[in-house]
Amino acid sequence: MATAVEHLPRSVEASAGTKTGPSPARSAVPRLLLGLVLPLGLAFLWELAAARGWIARRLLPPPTAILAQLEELAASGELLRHLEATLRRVALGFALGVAVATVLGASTGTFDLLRRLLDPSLQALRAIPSIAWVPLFVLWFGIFETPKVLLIAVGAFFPVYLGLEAGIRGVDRKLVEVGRVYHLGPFAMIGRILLPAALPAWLTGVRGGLGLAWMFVIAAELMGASEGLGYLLVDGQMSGNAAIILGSLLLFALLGKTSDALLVLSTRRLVAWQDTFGRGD
Amino acid sequence: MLELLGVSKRYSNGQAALDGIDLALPAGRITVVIGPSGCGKSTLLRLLAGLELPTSGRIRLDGEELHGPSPKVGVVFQEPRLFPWLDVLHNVAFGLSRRLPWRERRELALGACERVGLGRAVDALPKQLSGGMAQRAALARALVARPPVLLLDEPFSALDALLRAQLQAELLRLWSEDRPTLLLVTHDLDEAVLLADEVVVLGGQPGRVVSRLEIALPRPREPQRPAFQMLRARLLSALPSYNLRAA
Repeated sequence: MATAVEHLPRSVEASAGTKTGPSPARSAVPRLLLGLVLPLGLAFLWELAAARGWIARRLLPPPTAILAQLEELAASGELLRHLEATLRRVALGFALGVAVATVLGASTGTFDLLRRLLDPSLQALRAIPSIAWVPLFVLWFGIFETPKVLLIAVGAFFPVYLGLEAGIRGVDRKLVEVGRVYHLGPFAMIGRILLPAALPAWLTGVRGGLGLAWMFVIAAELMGASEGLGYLLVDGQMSGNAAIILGSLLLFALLGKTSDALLVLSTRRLVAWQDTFGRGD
Repeated sequence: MLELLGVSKRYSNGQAALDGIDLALPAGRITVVIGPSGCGKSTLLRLLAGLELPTSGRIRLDGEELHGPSPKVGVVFQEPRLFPWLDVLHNVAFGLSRRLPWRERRELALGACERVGLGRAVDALPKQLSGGMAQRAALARALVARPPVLLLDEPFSALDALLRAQLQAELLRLWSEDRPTLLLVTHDLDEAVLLADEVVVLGGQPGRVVSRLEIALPRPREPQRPAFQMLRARLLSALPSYNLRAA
């Protein structure tokens, strides 16, 4: 060990310096460009293939045609309406699913009795393909917003619940003992030790939950909607307009990736204390 | 006065760790518990910390029976056990009751960091600390509430020799300020003779007190002195010879 004789300020600086690595500002731009190489390259080849007549434009319209179609929808204000509807459903369902999963996951992760009581039932519910809830939700809540939001919430629930429950159970017993030495009650133990320690696992679950929320919004909108990106997909199929379908898929890809990146970015500081191999992206 | 009265500990798997321990730790003195690994010395400390309950017998602090962790008892473990998501200041302030307002806790925590020589590292996260600094922070967390009893479980065993000597000296300095009743578990003979007013030797399986040795040398003690070496030799001969990790 090089720290036999301790120079306090210097050793803090030195070890802090090795952890930060290259400054984010310098590496962010090339990294972004690197990620764009593959999609832009494929789009170029696709465009070329369409221009040369190698592919049927009616079934697989080139990127420029898709963008033109989206532009047309945007100009009429229709696109914004669909985007808003989908975003609202995802946001509501995701928030609801994460909130319920966090409370339940924290409870079953912390208290053995609650886990034995609740976890088997929750695991059994998880075994039901979530789409299978649709008929029941429609029967109970009609065909408007409520069943859609609930379906998305069910989708977002399980990764968060499983992540948090496993995260809490995986908290180092030694840290929990420190809490006992300082006579923390059960709720202080959860709030001050278990949840902070399980935060990385919870965030991984939340990220998975967000991905599933995007998946389930389609299912919800395919089951009958008058607006939303899922409605656009159905509309494109009915009218034989592949550009609308591909445009919607493109928007899903962009929205999913953007929301995931925002989630990671906004929570990075919360888990910066981890002493881990990966530096995240 | 911290007392163990006929304390035995048997784990739920049937394994007996301690058998009939009678021990009194007079207030304001340093008692060092030494013994071969597996003799139950860590179990003894965990019982005093309230992390385990005795199978039989009683533990009393100033006449009051202990039934779990007590605010009067501070603990330093072999590992620093800092919370990785809190900086040094907040880790140290964890040792204080939340009934105190944050401003007050902050002042006390800053003071404790100063006392252990971490005054300039209060903003650092545990991952940025060297082993010695992390253990200093753990010491500060245990000291910050100025508990009348301080328990230390092989606190310096993971540090290199130079750093260990430095922290032993600092522990003595900190102890002399408040004079808490201090119990330190170790397997290091020199550490025992250097720090203790009294050394308690545990041995056997399950562990019992096999001998007790008063160390009356004035402090600071110098390991190269013949009197120190003589006491060390007496201690060595009192130790059951098997399984001794650091003779």
